[in-house]
Amino acid sequence: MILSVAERSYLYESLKQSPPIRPDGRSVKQFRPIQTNVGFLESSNGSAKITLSDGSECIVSIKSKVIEKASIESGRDTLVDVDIEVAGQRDDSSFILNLISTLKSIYSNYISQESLSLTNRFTYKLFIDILVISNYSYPLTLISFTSYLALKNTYLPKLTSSVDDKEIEEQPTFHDYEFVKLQIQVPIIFTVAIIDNNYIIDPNSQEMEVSDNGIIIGWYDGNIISPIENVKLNDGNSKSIKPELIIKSIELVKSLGQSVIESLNAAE
Amino acid sequence: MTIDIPKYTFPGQPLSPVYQSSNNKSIIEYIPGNGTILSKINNIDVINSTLLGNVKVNEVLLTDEEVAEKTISQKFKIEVINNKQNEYSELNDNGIIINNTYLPKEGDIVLVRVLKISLKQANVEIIAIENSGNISKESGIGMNGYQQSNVTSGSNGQFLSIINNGLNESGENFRGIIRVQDIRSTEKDKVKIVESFKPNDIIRAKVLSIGDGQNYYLTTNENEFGVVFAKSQNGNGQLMYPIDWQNMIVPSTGEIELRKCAKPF
Amino acid sequence: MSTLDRRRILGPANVKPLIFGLSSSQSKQENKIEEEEEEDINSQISKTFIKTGLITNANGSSYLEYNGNIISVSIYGPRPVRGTFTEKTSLDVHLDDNTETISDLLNKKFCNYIENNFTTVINLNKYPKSGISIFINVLSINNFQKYKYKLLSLISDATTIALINSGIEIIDIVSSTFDLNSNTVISFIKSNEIVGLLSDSNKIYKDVNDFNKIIKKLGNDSNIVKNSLINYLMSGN
Repeated sequence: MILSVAERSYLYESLKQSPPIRPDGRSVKQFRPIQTNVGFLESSNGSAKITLSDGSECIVSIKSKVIEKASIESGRDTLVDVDIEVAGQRDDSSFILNLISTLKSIYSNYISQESLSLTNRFTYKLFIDILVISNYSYPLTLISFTSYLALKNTYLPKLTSSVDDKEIEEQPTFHDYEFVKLQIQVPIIFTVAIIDNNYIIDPNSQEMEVSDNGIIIGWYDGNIISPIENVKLNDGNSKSIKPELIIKSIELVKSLGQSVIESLNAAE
Repeated sequence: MTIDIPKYTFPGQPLSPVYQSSNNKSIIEYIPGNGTILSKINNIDVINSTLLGNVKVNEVLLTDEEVAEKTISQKFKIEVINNKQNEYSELNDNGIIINNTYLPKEGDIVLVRVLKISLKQANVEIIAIENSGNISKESGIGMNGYQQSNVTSGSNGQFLSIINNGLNESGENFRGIIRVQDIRSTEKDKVKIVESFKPNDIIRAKVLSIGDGQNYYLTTNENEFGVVFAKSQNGNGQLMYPIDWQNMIVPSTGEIELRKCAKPF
Repeated sequence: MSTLDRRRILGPANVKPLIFGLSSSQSKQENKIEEEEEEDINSQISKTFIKTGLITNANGSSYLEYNGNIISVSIYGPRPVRGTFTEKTSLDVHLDDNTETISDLLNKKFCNYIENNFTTVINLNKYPKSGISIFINVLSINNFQKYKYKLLSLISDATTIALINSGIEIIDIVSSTFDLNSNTVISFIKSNEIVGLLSDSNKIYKDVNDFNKIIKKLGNDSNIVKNSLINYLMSGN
């Protein structure tokens, strides 16, 4: 988004106030309203869509595949694979690759092996395909919320063969139509924009454009986790961050996480 | 109390507050020049260094208004001259270190080479800026080509492709335009480009504005600006010398060609 | 840097340069790094070797060696970017890993980190209509799996030195430090203000104060690193 000098300085000054005056009237810890939709893709194991008030839209589809556990242990395969497509961005741009690497590392750390385990030799592998149809602000929070909904609403085929296949060579067989809901805890990621001495959650495109810097913070089960990183929210306006602000943002995310999870769960 | 300004500095070092008072209660103002930046420490305006190098403090004459207001008694400009002095550094003949990261700005005097001329303008490339040396090093794939394997997969693909498409055979220099109305200040409507410049002439010019994405806008409308080096017969002949402001001569043959000449020193 | 070699200086595209010295398998050797030493920033500094200006082609360059990690950084620019008018310079970072240990994703992550760090620090307004390229060459890596972000902090320090060597205006010296326990790298300027932060581990922070302690510790370390960088720079005079 391109802002004129006057617009930029007006926005910056109002966001500098204490408490900050945000252009859409939100409070520091208020998210933009979201509209959710789950389980609408018949051909995938789980799916979700979130539409933001500014028109940003993200669709996530979860698919699964049975793989041998040995291939994961040997490092040939991973338990979770993430693919992201953002409209208007090249697949090999550093923007996309950075989103992928962040999500891959958070999901492979926090999606437990037990929850996907089938038998002693086989396990499910999850493919998380993310499509951001339109995007006006930094999409990571949107993506992580949508993936949360999709993963929480994923149904995997029910195993009918025996779990213990150590002794006997046996391919797992599945029930014809019954599915089991995937029971996992999913981490989510928050974006905080830093403006002067203020920190605001879920910045929209205008706020991003004038912000001094941005931080992404992971949240899992009531606690703060990696990634804790700073991100570039605009081109060339970035400034250094005071350490206190990072700590305050982390505290804010820690206190908000549970209520966000509750409202996301209510969306099911 | 006055604060001593360090002689040799590194990036980030505070050099001086903007206002200092000396013993007899007169106030000295310091203004940031090249290699420095204005910043705030505890809400006091301070001049910080942005380069590694020697600090130069030069007095700036006060304007009439400032003299009348009597708020400040003296004014100094603080500059940092980049010093690359180590065993591998490059020095020119005078021992002045060339700063090759300084870009032309409004009012700078530059030396340019004419690339092509048309009825409306002369296209030039900027070779050097007066008092700060060559505009840029022969960088990238030049005489000592230095190749990187994963260039195309850079973090900012768009930027790279722009560089690639923009390069031309004549090099990687910044480009400029001298429009026909900026060649001289009198009888502007009678000026013809062909009677002023020819391709490959070296011209001394002043930067009018940093221009658009493609070109700087330059002017030669003062006596000391214009052609300084030129060869006759479109560059095929011999070096010519100015005989007046609009004629150049080849001493050995007596050929005379029209140019807008710079006043010799 | 141009990939188009119109002047045919580099020869055919598929030409491989002669490589002297260590082969990649040899340079992958893993020296044992004592974990206690990771805590002692002063002993690390005394083992670090820095040299600037070795690459004469570049506007600025630096070479840094620490405990089996060898990095060279070269800066090209500011140089013209054609196309639409840009008020500020754009930065662009490439990482070339000669040891072939850094994955593509991580390579991008490193580049992104360095880019974020230095767009904050470079006085961008001084260089309109131009671009600055930072080329990082990783020549040797020691125990990458465990110390990958240590490498990143070294790269960041080397880049600062290279930028200073190039004479590109920066508002302050960036000093980066690494915490092994939380796998965190933070880059500081001024009096402990943060320009770069990257923490990637499976550690769960039950208490926010834990992270505060990491920032404090790295902040103290970074002051020591910064002082020794300044000492190095000023000793050139």
